Amino acid sequence: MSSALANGALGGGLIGLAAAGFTALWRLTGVLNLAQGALMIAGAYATWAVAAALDAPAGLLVALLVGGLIGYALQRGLLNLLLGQPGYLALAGTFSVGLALDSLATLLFSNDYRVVPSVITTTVITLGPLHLVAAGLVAFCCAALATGALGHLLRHTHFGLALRAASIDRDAGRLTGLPVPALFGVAAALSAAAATFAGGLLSLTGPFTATDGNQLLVLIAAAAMIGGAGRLWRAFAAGVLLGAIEGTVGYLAPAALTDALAIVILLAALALAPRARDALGRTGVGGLGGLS
Amino acid sequence: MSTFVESTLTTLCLYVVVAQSWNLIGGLAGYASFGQVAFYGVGGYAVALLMLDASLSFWVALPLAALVAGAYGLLLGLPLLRLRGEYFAVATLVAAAATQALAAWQPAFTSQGAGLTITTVGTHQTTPYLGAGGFTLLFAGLAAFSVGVVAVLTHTRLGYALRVIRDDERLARAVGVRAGWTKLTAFAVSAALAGLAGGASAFRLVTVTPGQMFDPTITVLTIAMVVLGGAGTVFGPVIGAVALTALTTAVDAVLPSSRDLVLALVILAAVVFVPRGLGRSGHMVRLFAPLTELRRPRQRPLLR
Repeated sequence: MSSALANGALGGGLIGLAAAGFTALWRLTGVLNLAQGALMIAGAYATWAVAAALDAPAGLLVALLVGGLIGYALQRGLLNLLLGQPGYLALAGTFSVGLALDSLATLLFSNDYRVVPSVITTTVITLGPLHLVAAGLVAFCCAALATGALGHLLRHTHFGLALRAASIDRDAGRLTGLPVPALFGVAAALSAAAATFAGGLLSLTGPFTATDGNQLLVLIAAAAMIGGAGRLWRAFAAGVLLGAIEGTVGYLAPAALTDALAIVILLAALALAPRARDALGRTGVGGLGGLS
Repeated sequence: MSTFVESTLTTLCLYVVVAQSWNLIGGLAGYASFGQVAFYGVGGYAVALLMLDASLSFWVALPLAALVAGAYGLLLGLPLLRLRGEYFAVATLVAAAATQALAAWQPAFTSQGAGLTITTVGTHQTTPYLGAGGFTLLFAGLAAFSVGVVAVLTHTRLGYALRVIRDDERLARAVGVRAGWTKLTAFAVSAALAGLAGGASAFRLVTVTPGQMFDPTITVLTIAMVVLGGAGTVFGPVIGAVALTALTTAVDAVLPSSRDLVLALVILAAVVFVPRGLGRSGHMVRLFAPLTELRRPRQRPLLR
């Protein structure tokens, strides 16, 4: 039972990383990227394909690259055009990008379950009363490091400062010479790369298939909502929490109950956080402030 | 009429009902629900269960299913309608996923996700299967009903109140609109309409499965229809439903395997090129605006 909880929490770290990327883009551009789950699966396939030819670390690098490219293209080709439009247009747009990625994956790889075979997938580490899956532990550490790196990049570097400035006031950003569309593109690239990297780690820890994207999206969105549009580590922690609950519930009851539980937690979090109800205006874009 | 024409018309009318249901809450009230399919699915399961377990006739089960879906809308609306914008959209998306998970899990209701089969032949059937022509008539009636509901609501006190809420909720409260009650009513009616569509579909499909009745693609396709036709108008969703049903039917005939891919591209095109809808004046200007924007980006720094 405690092992199930711990392993669930380790798996939740991957959701947490994707949710941190989701939160970053949300905070910076006001867009909720509903393709985040599909991006995770895309990263998983990229890692799986490269790992079969070369090795797993190379696969993870390719996953990062693929995510960055897709994210940048998504922002420049779609989301920048929708700035200032009603928020549901961007939601419908990103959802259909996710649908397109999912159906491409189904066409290319069919619905078979895939996993990157490796030594650490089956190794179990015993720590006192806990039996931890080694691959999960490694993936969790990578996800935590990646979340930290993303947070550091956005909060403590010159680039992050420019990005936050552009996010707070797009017009003022333009007047001071910031390349706002390109900055937003890079923000989306980082956010998507977080998802594909998390997906790559997912492919190292367990089986996945082309149709998993929607379920992952629900968990990512729930984690991001619970974390609130605040610091990235909150979204990461919420992902870990959801993972721990999923692990425990999956151990005690049918796994399908997990999603139902996620909504209960989400609703409770929203009800308890009055900030959430008034944080965003109707359009969801404009002066959202930085990652404070 | 050939079976092909009948089934296409049936699908078209089905989407008109769901699109009008979304139009009520998303178009008129400005609360973009990404979980509309939850009510569609609840309506479908209600019809299947009422016909199987309670041995009710379809004609009794269908209005009851609409009531059940409407009540479920009230239940979800109470917490969810306190949220706004993206929070509401994502919360409804998660709520729909949770509803699907419950339907897939609850063994007594749904034989553990394997699907329920409504009895349509033999001595135990409660209502004879309607056949292709019968379903076309049924769905045409439902489509006309849904258009009527939206047309009537638009010109009532409720319709005006919803549009004030969409444009400025604080203003609405200031001028005395009971915003919470108004939104909840619209959400429940919208849920009941989606439940009607789902209930009728369940009988048409005979076998209902959680994956089919709660497919989130239905929600997004519906949103694309309303966006394409013009959100908040009476006939916009009808125009959008005709356009997208024609397109999906054509794609199904030519490239059935890449249906979702083409669908996604069409929704993207609708969102980028006609965000205000075909049903509104000046749409041609909007149609080309993003293209000119691409050629001559206005987002350059003003000073360099």
